Amino acid sequence: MKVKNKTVLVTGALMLASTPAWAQSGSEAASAAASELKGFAAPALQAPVAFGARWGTFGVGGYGQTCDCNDQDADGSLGVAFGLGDPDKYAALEVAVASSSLFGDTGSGDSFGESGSVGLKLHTNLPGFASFAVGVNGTGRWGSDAFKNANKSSVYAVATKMLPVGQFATILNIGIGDELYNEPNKSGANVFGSAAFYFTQQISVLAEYTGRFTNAAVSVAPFRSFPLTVTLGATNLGERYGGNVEFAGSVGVGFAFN
Amino acid sequence: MRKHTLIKMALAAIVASASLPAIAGSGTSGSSGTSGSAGLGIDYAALAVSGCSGNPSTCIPGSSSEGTMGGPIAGLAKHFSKNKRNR
Repeated sequence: MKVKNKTVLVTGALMLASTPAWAQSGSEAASAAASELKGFAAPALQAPVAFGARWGTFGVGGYGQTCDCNDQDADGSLGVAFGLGDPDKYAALEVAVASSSLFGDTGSGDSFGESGSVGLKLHTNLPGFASFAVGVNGTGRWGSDAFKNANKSSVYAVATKMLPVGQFATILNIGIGDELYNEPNKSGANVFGSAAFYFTQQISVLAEYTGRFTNAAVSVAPFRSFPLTVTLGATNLGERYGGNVEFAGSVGVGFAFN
Repeated sequence: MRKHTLIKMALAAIVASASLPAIAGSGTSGSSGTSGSAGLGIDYAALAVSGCSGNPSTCIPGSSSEGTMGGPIAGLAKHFSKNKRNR
């Protein structure tokens, strides 16, 4: 990916997010916020989704998995995210910052907090409980040259929709992206996607293809009125690239201050 | 409503058309995973997890924005709330 192209995309996203919001009738919007429902199970493990944070909301999340990648045989990342704008009226920009290489320093040479990156996602909500977003993960990298060179920024476009299935529901997610969402050492873009089946809003089972790996997980929001989500699963089910199936987990908490 | 829906769909199409050529024009290779956990998705996973992939509650507006939430999570909330009422 040429740096110039990415710069243009990110600049465009920032310009769109800063544009004044247009009014939208609330007749189609659900009154989810009016409820006391704050615990939602996750729709994906690693794959980006098309909805995101808006102004007044922020989240904290951690991810870890086993891997044959360092002396500790495990690694993880820790991030914070916040939103600007309103995806119901026009669009919102989700800004996420992550610290990488939390467990192991063998591979990149970076210790805790010494490497990381920024993610930007411009997203909007569409009728029919759908969303659309474009974003970039891994821009603004800091850390060792080894980390920065091995982790390229990845641009993606993604669409997500909720579909009722009887008394249950699904969230389907499909997108295209380059670099991390494509085969290693292959130029261009590849398809990624996820499907989550919700038994209740607080329990989901999900499967995803990241463009490289097939993953599966179970996600639980243990508290109905507290915004905590725990997701546990397995990555690389196809044992691709000579790797093994690995255990993975994430924990996230989200808050609203307006 | 129809006007705003059309506007949003048009904007979505514009953003998509702006991003796709950038992706298609990519001339560099993907991360090879030659450095530690690079290429496994671990280093970037928290970017998604702190947002709404692994943490949907990040996407729920506060009480001052009641009734304005759309998108898939709003759909989930509405669907399961309706089920509960029906029971």
